[in-house]
Amino acid sequence: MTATLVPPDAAEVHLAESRKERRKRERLEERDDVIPVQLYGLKRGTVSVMTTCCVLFAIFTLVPIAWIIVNSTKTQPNIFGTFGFWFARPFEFFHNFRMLFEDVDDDGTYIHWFGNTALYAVAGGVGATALAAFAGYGFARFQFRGSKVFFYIIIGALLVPIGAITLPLYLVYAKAHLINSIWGMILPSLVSPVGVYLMRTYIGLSVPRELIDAARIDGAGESRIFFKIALPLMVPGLMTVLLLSVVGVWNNYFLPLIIFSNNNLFPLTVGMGLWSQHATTSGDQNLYPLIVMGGLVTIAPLIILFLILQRYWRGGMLLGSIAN
Amino acid sequence: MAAITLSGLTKVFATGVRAVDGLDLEIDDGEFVVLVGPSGCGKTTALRMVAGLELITSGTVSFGGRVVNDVSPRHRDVAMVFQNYALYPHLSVYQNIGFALEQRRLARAEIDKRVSEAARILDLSLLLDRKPKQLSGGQRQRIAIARALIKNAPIILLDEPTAALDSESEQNVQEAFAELRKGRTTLVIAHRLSTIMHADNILVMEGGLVVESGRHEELLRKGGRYASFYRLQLREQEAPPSESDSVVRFPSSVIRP
Repeated sequence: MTATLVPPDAAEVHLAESRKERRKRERLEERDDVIPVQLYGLKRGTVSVMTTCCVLFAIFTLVPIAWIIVNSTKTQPNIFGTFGFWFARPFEFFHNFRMLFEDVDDDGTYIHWFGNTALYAVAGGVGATALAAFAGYGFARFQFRGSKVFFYIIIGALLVPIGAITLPLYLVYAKAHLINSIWGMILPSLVSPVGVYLMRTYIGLSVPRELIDAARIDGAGESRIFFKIALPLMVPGLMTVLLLSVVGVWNNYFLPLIIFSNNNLFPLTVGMGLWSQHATTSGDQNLYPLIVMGGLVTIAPLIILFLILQRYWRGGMLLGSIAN
Repeated sequence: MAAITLSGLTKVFATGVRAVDGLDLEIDDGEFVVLVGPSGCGKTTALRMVAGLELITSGTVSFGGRVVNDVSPRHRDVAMVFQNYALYPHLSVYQNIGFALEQRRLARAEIDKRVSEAARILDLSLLLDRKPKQLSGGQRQRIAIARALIKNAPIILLDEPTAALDSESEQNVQEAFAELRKGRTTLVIAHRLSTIMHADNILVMEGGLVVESGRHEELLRKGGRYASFYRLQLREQEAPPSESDSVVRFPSSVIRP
């Protein structure tokens, strides 16, 4: 008998509660699940040192974000002439934001690059997640000739540095007419060795063999078992792979740099790199505020995506399914 | 016809472990047969081979005279209750019970009718909207039995259906279990005397083979391994209740002196 059973009365109460109440209850349940630090068996000094390390690391991570927020409100002279971590007059946030969407020196517009990036990230991220789910499920739950070798080859792909394949990649792309094509960006983004590895591990732990056996006995075919039984249990893993894939494509600089020469196909990384070059070489007075504001707007969708997806990272998916 | 015949059934795992070693077995149509034996004796592997969930190294499994070695589990027309429930955690009780009928693409009205009937028999009618995590162990196992019952398959396979339950839940599940067995060929792995004693035939397995078989009384008279197991169970039941309750594992020391 598991210790996590919910008595029927409690279940009735759950059905009647509103969404807001349910979220509050889930938050409290999560808090109850956390082991209090007093029970870790650590000395007070050790806890203090570890807490300090965590705080320092958090500051290290958050300082650039704080800097970019503060400086997105400044004019170019103020960016260089005032303290970087505090605001200065005039407050130019909305002006900078508006300027971001205008064509600069005929290089292209931020909004165009933003659209390109979103297209590459959504197509590549969703595609990579879907393929990682299929491949991870196959490797985790089916034994076939050479499955281990194939898996190790995929993992081995993680070890190859991108610099080593630049030239062959360019030559292959040229032969396949993928230079200056959106497919040149999307197709390689669909392959995520890390995603396959994560999904294989996650499925091994979260989709018990017994459930698949039960579904087979119930008469379900393999595709039905995957979509109806396995996939809903894979959601937290899928969301992790989706986030990693989207962030990977969103931040990809090197691949679009070598395959795109047409400014209209640039993603944000390359487009803003172009602005940065112009700012350095031409001394344009207005480019640095735009680059800073562009950086802020670029990271915003990723933060929003994380906040949306984090609700799917929850445990207890298998509660009640398998007896201990 | 739902007679089960196993001929020279053998399973050797990739590690070289010979889990089932040339098992021969005849189970008549409608017969209730129990497999007992210590852990690792090959009971579960044999049951899984009958269900089609395990590849057969050699030998044959036949249903009603037809060899089904190459028939996939979904086409074998067997129902199975797993030791650890194996309920679909994200589906409601209704969806769990009706899942097999959905696969057959039956009409919604027909599924409703049969799920309601199975739920009524197993006293689950008030729980149909709940998820498995909101139920007790006994209720979960009754869902697993309802899932088998609703398939109306001629062959029922049960892998220690009451092992994870306390005595009180076991009582309820035993009634459900009796309902499930009616008119069907039943092969059960069991450790509880309450299940074993009513069997038409008890097969004691050891080292992948059946080493004793017969009805409860016959095996007691023989005074062999089963009799030792029975005496041990009685001693356990007379002892004060413990965490393991009345589940007594077939002791290795009895089988392998």
